[in-house]
Amino acid sequence: MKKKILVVDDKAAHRKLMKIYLSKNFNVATSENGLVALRMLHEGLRPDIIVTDLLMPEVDGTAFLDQIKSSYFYQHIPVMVLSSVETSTEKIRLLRAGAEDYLHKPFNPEELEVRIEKILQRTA
Amino acid sequence: MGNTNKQILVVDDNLQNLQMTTRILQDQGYKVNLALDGPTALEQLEFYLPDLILLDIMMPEMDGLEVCRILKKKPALKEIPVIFLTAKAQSEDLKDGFNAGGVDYISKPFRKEELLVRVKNHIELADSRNRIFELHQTRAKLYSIISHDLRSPFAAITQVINAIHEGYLDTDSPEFLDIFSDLEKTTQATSALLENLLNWSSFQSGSLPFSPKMIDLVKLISECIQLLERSATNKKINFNLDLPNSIQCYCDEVSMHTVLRNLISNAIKFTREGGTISIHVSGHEQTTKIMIEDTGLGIEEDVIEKIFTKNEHYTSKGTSEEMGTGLGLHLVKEFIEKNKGKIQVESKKDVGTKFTILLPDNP
Repeated sequence: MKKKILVVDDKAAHRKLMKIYLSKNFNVATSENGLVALRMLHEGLRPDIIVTDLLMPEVDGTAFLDQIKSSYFYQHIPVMVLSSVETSTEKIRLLRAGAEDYLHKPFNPEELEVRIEKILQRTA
Repeated sequence: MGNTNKQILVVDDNLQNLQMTTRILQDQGYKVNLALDGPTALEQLEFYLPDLILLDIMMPEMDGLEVCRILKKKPALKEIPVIFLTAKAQSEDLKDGFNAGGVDYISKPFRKEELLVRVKNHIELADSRNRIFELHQTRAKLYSIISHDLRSPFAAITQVINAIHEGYLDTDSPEFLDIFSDLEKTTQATSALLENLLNWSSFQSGSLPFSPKMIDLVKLISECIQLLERSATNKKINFNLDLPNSIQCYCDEVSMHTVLRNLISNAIKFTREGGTISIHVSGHEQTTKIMIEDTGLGIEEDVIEKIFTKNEHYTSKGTSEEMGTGLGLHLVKEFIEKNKGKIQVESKKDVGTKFTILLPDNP
């Protein structure tokens, strides 16, 4: 059975492209910000991995990551950050806060898929 | 008197000195708080932040130097200027005072004029330092957001180009058309941001030519509407225009164009499909009134206060996911003020927003 990925990003083009990239090997669900993503989790969605952007309206990636990592129910779900922010301080901060990996936009879709598979093997 | 909102804490173990100093300062309109010893002063500082502290050095229990060292270690207090009051003006003591973090000293017995001049100078100095610091903070925050808002759309465009290149995205497929129209919006928003950014930076550096003259506001508004008509048509938004044939107003054309363009494009952005934008211009005694009203999402009360203030960066998405940077309204306010005008906003959530601009007819 295909593993489930939840993609969180405020740009519609990005969400659609992620579906095109990943749908072959994964079940892809998308949401436009952290708030909607949290709602989907509360309603019972259980992804094997979450791939999130950082700067989004309502609940941004950082706050979303904090929510996931401090929740008893969701903290085991690995979170990968995918963002155009590229400073080392940001990466360090997010990895410390519990992100599993960090990939910079624009990205190579093959690299994204390999990294996702590695994370899934590691956290299985 | 100008000093009425400035607050000074005076710390001295001699009650008579304390009373005299207080009277001198209060006569000039300063608010004065008192403490008879160091620990009391430190305790008081937990509850309020004065603009300046006058601190006696020779006090029993805890001397002024010690008090100063302690408060310079506290982040909340360390920027408050401390002036030492000292009976012993020997160079060794002065060195200790400056080392402990004092900005100046006054030897007792002091003259009234000297006290007042030193107090005034140091409060002014601290004020300008704080202003520069705040300005710097605002800039840094704005730059970091702008750099994201520029980088992010380019990343999205590159990503799509690569996807076509690598064969993930067939340019004949419906997915492509869909993604393409998303990108088109992103590109439009980014070019509007660039326009604003360039305007803003030339305004900040003072290199924006500002040449107010009598211009026809109605013509200017019509130009802006023409420019934005396509994005309004895309969302099936109607314009309801109530404009005289012409109305002459004394202002700078370039900056007013930016103001009107931003307000109208905001109205389009926050109005749902099929909504209406009303623009009403009328001449009054010595002023021209421009009203731009939409039937859009409206702005929440706590946000209204934020949108025009410099230290807040507020941005939100439009009804079709249009992006924003918060730079637009920032510019609007600065430019209207530069044109000696005023802007007001009224808004009700889910009903709409109305911006009113008042411009003087004459210089």
